[in-house]
Amino acid sequence: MSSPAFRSAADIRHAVATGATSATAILEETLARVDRLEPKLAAFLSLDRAAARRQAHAVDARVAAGDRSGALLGVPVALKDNLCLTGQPVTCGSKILEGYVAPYDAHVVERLAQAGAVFVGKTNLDEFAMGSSCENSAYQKTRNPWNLDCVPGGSSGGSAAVVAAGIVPLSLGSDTGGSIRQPAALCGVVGFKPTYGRVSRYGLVAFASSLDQIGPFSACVDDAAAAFAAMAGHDPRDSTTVDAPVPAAEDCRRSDLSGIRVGVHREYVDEIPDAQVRALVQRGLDWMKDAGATLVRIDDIDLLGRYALPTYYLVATSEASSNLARFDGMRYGKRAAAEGLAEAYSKTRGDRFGAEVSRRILLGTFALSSGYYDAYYMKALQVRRLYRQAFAKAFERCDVIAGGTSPIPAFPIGQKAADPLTMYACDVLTIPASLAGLPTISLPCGFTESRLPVGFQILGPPLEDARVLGVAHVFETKSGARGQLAPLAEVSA
Amino acid sequence: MDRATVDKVARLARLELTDAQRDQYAVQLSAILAHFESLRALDTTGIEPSVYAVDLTGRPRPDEPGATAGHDALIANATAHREGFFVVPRVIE
Repeated sequence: MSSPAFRSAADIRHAVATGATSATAILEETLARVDRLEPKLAAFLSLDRAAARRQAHAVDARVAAGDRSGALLGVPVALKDNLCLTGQPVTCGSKILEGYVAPYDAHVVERLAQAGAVFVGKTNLDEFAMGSSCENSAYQKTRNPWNLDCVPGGSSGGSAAVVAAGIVPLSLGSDTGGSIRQPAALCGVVGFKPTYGRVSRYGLVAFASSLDQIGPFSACVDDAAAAFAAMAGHDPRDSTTVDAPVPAAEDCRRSDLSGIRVGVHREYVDEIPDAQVRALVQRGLDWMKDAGATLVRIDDIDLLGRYALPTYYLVATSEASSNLARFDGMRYGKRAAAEGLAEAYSKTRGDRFGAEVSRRILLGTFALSSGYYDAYYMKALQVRRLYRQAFAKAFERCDVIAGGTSPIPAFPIGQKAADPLTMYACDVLTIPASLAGLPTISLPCGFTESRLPVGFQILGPPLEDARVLGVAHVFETKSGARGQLAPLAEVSA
Repeated sequence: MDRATVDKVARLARLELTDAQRDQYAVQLSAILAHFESLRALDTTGIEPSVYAVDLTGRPRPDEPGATAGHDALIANATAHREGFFVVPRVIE
């Protein structure tokens, strides 16, 4: 059921383009919602109202000059605070980047700005995108708009929360092992991770470069498609971007699912331990069938779910230990006082990295160290190949694979903070698609008895982003969850 | 992972740990690695490692100067800088 407070990015774009309203007026309404809701949510790490007003003004000038192009004209957008926006802080939720100001724009920021977007602020995340609850942020704990005692998921929890609360219709996150899809599920919004290499990572602070991918959060699939179409494409500044035609937003729609074979695998459905989540996911599959899809059981293919956590955590932490070596306090970030260079490195990093980041750096350094490299890192890369092969085999028999996003709904703040392995298990259904680089979306499929949203995941073969979005578009029509916002979004000022 | 290994890895990672942190990470990382042992059961003989999820082919681009953020904006983020250079602790005694 669409929330009365819901206004899609497409609605805003239309209203601004036709002169029914202005980007400035839209921004002021957005900032009023920030004033009302941010004290409850703690979703933003920084917010520069003056800079946002200048951008909105520039968009209005553009419209006044007769330029009504731009798929996101006047649309307020929030950015995960690991993306660079010139002149604004980038903390990555870490003390080690306290005070850092971005000297350039990320590729996605350039693209969305060209499309007419107005950047409202930077959102909270688990430190360096490492976590599944936002509790690893060095600055604050973001709350889930559906239940303020619960986490919003992570690592892009702030970006999921601001969309679920109706503050902005669109935000960006990054997904390494589920960091867009899992918070989207826990906050009851749409979260899309494009195919690896579709969207340039230029200006995204790296966590695990072979897995990181930027994608949108929104309250409807159309808005995610519009953002994706605006951001995707080859960028010479990121050599991992693929040079393939980018689908137009209109091509990411379908009227039904006739001719679509939906792969159903026990790991994504029948083996979900939470009975309520499992039942809602099963109902989602029924909706797909009602819409004309053929459900195909692919249980006989070993999708290797039991190896997901070790494979992912070895690959991701190894890459992280290398990527995060650059945070040494010399060129940016605050440096600890020390006598020599080596001591300055160790003290700066020891003082300013949080526990989860330190754990992962240690784990990755260990996995790459002499004597362990073959047994851990190389082994994980070989298993990663098996994941790609398994999915390729599955997609010979189906067009998409569908199932749950998160095995559990949002959990109380503090509940899993003490045990890293329990927290890692939150990503067990999102990691496999990350290892194989697949385009994957999470979208709402209902609520638990305690009124917590549950997410439904749709995976497609590499580069079939438009197919995934198209199938999701039909799913959304069936679920009726288009424009679903948390109740607190509807309380007026 | 015993404490000595944690110390060794922390030195490699240039990460100063307190004694309490070292003890805690030794316990936690041991539990994590024990969980990861399950990978050993999987036969990967002859399997080509996959560094990326997609097969990438390097594509050279023309070596042309482009716009950059600029020297001043880049160096402004350093804890210490002087006359346009980064100032770092003494490297050579």
